[in-house]
Amino acid sequence: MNAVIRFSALARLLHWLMAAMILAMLFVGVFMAATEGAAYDTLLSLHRPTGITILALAVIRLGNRFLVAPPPLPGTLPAIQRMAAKGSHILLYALMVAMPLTGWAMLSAGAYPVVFWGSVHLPPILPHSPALFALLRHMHTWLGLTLFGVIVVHLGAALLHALVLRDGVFRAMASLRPGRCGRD
Amino acid sequence: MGLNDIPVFIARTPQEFHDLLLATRPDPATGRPDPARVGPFMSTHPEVAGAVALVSGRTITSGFADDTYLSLDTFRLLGMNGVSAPVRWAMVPVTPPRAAPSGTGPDYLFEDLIAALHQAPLQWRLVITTGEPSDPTSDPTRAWPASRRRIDAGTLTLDRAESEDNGPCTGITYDPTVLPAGITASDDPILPARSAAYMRSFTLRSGERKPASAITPAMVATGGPS
Repeated sequence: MNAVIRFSALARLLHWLMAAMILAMLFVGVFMAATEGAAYDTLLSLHRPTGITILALAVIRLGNRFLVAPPPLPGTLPAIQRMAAKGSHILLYALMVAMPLTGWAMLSAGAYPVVFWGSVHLPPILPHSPALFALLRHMHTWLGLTLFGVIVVHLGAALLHALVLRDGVFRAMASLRPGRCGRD
Repeated sequence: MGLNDIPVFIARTPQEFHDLLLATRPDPATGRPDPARVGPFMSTHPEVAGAVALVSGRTITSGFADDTYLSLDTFRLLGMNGVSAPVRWAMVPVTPPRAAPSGTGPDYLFEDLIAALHQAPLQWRLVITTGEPSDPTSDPTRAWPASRRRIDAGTLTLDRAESEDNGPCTGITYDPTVLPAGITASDDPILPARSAAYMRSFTLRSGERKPASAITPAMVATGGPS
């Protein structure tokens, strides 16, 4: 067993909590956009508060990422894989923020009420503009599908580190131990 | 509020509406629905056939100004005691309806309305009908008995028209599930379908370039075609 530097406990908690929420949201979004049945209302009323919560958690997570340095990648990793890791993580963070923001913005531009939960409404973040609504509604779908693709790549890379390379990268995020340094 | 001037809706579920559209789609050869397809559909869908008969048999008034507009779907109204009741509503014209339309040209309904508004404001009463436990809430093809309690809930006064061009209603969509506090959607399956379909059509048409309206701001301002 090698000594590892793990992600901070907060980073790991946010990662797994948001992983579950984002995966659930992608499926809720796809089923919601494909149905006109009674589930449409239920899924929609689940989709909006979850999206806003993800936005809030993403902001906390980004702050934590800048304040607490993530564990360094192993020195054995080729430069191309380092670049891929960095690029995909930037893309994941960008999409985590962009998905809820485009959802909120598109409802604002379409003059829909932005219902958080029940009678709790959020203010519009864009002026009323049908053309902008159409653009953002399409963007919301395409960014969602892009996020789905990046998550599949992320999952593939995680499994590569866990099962093939066994270089401690997976354990740095998957560990249940509280501290940042130590042996697993 | 989105209202329609037919007495009932013509399908009970989104699936039934979809099947109806397929059964009544125009035959490319004649440009009209194919009786060989419509006939069997209506005989296997008596609820649709009954609703279509009610719609076909409705009184056609002289124009928009003396027409009655209905919610069709059922909603639930929350009472002061915390108990909700199923309701349907209608805008009933204060002007008694006159007989069949007389105008000509493709836009005469709009032109007549604009001309009428230049004469005097038009008024409708908002009439809310409360349903009894035996009344269908999830089936918009079935009308409620005429004996149900009716509440006169106010008056709508129209004092001017607006052209679609730069008008305040352009660029927004109607969604029957966006409701103020105290009113909720019922178990009517057409309601979520309208919400979903209208958002999709709003997305499609908002992404297109909109041609100028046949009813111009100048026509609205002067009270008729110039």
